[in-house]
Amino acid sequence: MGGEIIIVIVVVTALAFDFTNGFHDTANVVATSISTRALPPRTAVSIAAVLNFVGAFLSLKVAATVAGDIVNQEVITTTVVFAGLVGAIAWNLATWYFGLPSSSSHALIGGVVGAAFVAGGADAVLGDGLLGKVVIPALVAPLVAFAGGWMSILLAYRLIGRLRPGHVTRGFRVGQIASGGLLALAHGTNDAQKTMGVITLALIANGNLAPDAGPPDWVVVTAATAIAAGTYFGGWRIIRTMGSRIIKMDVAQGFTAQTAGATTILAASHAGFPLSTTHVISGAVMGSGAAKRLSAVRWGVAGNIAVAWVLTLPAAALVGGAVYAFTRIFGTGAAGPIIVSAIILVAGVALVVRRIQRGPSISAAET
Amino acid sequence: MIATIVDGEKLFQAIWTSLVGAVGVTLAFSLLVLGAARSSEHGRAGRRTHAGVYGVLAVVALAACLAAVVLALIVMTTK
Repeated sequence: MGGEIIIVIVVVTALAFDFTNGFHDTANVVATSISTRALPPRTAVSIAAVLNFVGAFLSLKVAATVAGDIVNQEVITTTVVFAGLVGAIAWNLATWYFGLPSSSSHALIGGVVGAAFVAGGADAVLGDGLLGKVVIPALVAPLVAFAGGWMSILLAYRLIGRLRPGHVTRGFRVGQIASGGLLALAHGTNDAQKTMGVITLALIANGNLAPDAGPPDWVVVTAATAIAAGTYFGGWRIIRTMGSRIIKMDVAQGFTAQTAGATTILAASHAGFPLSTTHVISGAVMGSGAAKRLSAVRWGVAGNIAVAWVLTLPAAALVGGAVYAFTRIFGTGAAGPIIVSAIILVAGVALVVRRIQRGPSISAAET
Repeated sequence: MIATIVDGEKLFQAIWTSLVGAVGVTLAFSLLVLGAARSSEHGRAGRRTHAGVYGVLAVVALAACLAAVVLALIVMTTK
């Protein structure tokens, strides 16, 4: 009975993480389209939500490698998965509160690594996997996207520089709808898979599924729905940071940033490198801005984002480890996860209410 | 040590395909905008030959853009 209660809590927590993933990462997909006025904010977010939902069904290869190649499978229990998810949600909410784009994927990996470390010691963490699958791609991907955005916008300006502004604006606004759509699809295939993988991992650890089982249909549908709902409700503070606080973009810059971001995500995913869509899009936005002139990029904002990137893995790991240790005080049953869930729920609601009372809404994102 | 942890060949392939993809799609779309705009301008000025040439450029560029979208969808569904 205790195992069933824990698995229900883990599934609900995983879907809550998936919601914050969509909520947090909406900015990756729509910020440039909104800031260049290619699409009205609510339309952009609605399209992104639908395409994220569709994207979650496009590829059903379970991303169990999120945990499988990074921590020792033998230490994975439902409580480890639960603690890892809480670490990821806590970091996502904290960075949303401050309006900083950070990686939900790295938050998830950090949370699971921290919980596994506390559960099984240093041997529970596969260092080579963490370095090869997470750290090195995290360093390379934003640089590649930066270079792609930088080269692309230089080429675009060379070709369209002498055209009337009206032609350019109309043309690239249409282009941004297509490039933004591809980004949303790519985001759905990448990020919803991670939640499906984590839920499947928990079901296997709890004995509900065979070790080599794929995600059941209900997992696919609920994960797709959660990320789409999160995307629809959108993190407007991060949209504002991505769309106008890093650089003020014109439509050609918006198009090239989205295109460089989409091609980097697709090329890396196809080669088997899991990466952060947030890092990629931020890099592409900065590359498109820096090509016009280096001072066009607000490097102070970019620096804050970089600090959030560096802190994501250790901060989520710290919370994940602490949550696992706290949960174990109450034994191996359901009491620990229930108490932690109640605390997180109260703290999360308080944070959201406080932010909504103080923070900007759609209108601010539009400016 | 790094070489044993990361597949350098795959990493290099991912890097160059990302860059070629980004630049290629931007080239195609910029040519589409250029072709459509110039074709419209020459058409209004009565220069039919010029308008036709730029129109063909726009159509070819549009086909390249659509091919890129289809390729992206194939990559997404087969990864």
